[in-house]
Amino acid sequence: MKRNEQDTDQLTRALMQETVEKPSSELNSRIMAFLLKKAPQKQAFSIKKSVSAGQLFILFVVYMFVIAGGLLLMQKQSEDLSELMLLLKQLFPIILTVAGGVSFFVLFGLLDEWLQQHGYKIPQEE
Amino acid sequence: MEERKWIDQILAGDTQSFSCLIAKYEKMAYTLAFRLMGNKEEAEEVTQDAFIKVYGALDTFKFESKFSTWLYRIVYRTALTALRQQKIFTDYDEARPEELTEDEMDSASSLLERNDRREIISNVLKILSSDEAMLLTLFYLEECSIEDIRQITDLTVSNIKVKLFRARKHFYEKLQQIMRTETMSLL
Repeated sequence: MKRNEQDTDQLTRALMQETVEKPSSELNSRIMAFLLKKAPQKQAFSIKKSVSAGQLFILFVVYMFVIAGGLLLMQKQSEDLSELMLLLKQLFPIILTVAGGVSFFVLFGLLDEWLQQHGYKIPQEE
Repeated sequence: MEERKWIDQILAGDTQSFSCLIAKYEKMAYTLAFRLMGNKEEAEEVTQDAFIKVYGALDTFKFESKFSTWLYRIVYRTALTALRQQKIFTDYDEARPEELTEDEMDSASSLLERNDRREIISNVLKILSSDEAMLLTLFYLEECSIEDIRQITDLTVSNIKVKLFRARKHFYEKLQQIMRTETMSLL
């Protein structure tokens, strides 16, 4: 008596069950190494560590106060406010240059980070 | 579906997630490649090339079929390219082979209780032609439907059914031959 199609299929399935072939353990890492070498460096997420405009302004104000405080310490014996104001007026360009320089440094750092996040890169020569 | 989540992550730029897809499908992709190529080194090369093609074409996959069907089609086509062939299937023959005999079925059933059945069955699959081994693997091991196999190979449904029937017949014939030979050598 011939067995039915279902039995035959069931038997064939059972016989074939363990015939899965196993590739080498390095196959996955080899493929990934190839793909990661070719893929552009994109991140799935980024940790925000940049300084906001408000924080930058506060930093600038703090610079000014620290410098002014330093000058006050230097001039602690002088009780003549007008002399102090004159001194500040003379030193103001230097103070502004230093504070401006530091701010520009921070600004260019932020700009560079923004450009990188938006995919602007200097083309690398291979 | 896991694949959808991984594919979305990969397309968003997380290349590392592709490793999860590879881990899930590498054995079956490799098994299919091995059936077609016949040796380990070429099968690995075909599998690697296929996965790289899958990665490159991931943005074109719209979940209109199962991911596995799409992957196996790429593996199949990559293997054909490596074999430098347009097809591996012999010409379509409508004549259906004979049914399996009781002896053939009994020989096969007795094999289920043996510890070395894996080795014997693997040897039988190596003796079969690559198209027959591949069809048996897709239908009985990976449990692809006839429609899935049609999408992978571009054969017609009726062609697949006849070839599968024939492949199964040859499989049992060879199995019985091997077991008879074994019995004779023991006597």
